[in-house]
Amino acid sequence: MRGEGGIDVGDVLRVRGVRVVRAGRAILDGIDLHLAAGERLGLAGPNGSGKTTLLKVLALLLSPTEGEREVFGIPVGRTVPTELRRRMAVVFQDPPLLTGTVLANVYLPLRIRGLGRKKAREGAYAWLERFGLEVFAGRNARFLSGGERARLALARALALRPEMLFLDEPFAAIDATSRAPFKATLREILRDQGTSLLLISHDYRDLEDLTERTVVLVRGRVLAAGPTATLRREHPLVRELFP
Amino acid sequence: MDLVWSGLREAVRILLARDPEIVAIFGLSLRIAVWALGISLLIGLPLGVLLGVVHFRGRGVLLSIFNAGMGLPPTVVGLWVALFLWRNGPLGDLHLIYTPAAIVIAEVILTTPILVALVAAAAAGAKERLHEFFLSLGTTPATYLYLLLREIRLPLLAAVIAGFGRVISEVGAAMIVGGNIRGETRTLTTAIVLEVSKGAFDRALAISFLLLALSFAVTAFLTHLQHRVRED
Repeated sequence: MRGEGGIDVGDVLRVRGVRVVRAGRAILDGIDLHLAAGERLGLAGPNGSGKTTLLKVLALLLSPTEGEREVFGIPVGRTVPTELRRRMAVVFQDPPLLTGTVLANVYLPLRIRGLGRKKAREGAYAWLERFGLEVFAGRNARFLSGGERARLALARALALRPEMLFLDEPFAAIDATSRAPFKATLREILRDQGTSLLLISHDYRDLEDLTERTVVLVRGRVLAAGPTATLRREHPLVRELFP
Repeated sequence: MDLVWSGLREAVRILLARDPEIVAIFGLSLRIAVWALGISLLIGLPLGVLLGVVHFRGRGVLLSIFNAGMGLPPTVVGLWVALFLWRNGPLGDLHLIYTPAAIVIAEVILTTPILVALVAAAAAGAKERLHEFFLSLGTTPATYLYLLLREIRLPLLAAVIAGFGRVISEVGAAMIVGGNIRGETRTLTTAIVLEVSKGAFDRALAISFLLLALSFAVTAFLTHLQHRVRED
């Protein structure tokens, strides 16, 4: 659906000609990308291809050196309205945890987003339960294993009920046997909430399981883009990257 | 060893007898410590957070100054404060020389750099680790600050313990700007110096035990708080 100025009014994200230069080196160079409401987009590429930088630009955590950004149909410059960030959630690679209990890690972000004490507490418990972490609620988060930390980071992000969710390698610390049920839970929640997703993963199976479309970056440029299910089959260079 | 035992006995006697002079010295030392630490915190906490979190021109120089200030010699600070507060000095009209307020001023100058440097280091570390996460939550400047202070509460308590150690043990500056006047500016540390100079080691030891007890009690309380925070 096209609106005024050729903008797809159904897009939650749209960037044009995004370029990020650091220390004289172009980390991203001329990226055009869009994401429709409820769409699940994969972002793939070798190390150093600019995936995380692009995620930060899209999640309004980093201003591009050049280029335009529109988030939820609103053009965004260097000053980012807090309200826009509050419609999103990010799970970072090696997610930082707050000091204190596992419960506090979900409760406090909910309080920051404006929920009352009671609702935030109930919401935090419910999301911990959903990810099998309720038994750890009162424990200090620093004692969690890598896999538990990853689950907590995802529970924390989803508890915020974002319209747009960014995940940067969220399964890296989760063992192979736990991944399938974890991904199934995530898929179900995204579908139920109609959340748009941008997922970075080095594992093409994760992208196949969770995304409809994938963009492959190499050295800060888009190498290929297309439906996740067929992209690898149809694009020899993508097949080379993900044998 | 006899001297130590007699000091201990004297300390117990003083405590039981509630020697009014020693009780007054004890109270004054505690009041000066609380005031000096409180004012240092009021200055040091916001300044430390600012230096730790906000990047501006001259930040590095300021951090170096505060880091160097952690090792300020008390007698030098005492001398400079005395020069300023002396009757003919720039602040002589305030008539603060040889008052508890003068001791508080000197101790604030000695303690604030410790708090600023430790808080700045903790805040910078927390920002480096959590800045993007805090932004992603949609924090306002106030909620960002709240989360940051919450994250540094443990090192903040450590800074308070270090600051308290400085104010309660300080003697050089207190002697110079307070004058060790009986009933007015005599603190536990300056009283010990006086008793030793008189050769009254048993009384000096008794006061030292009181000072140790006070220092230990406050530090133990702050450490207990630190453990509780860590377990939260």
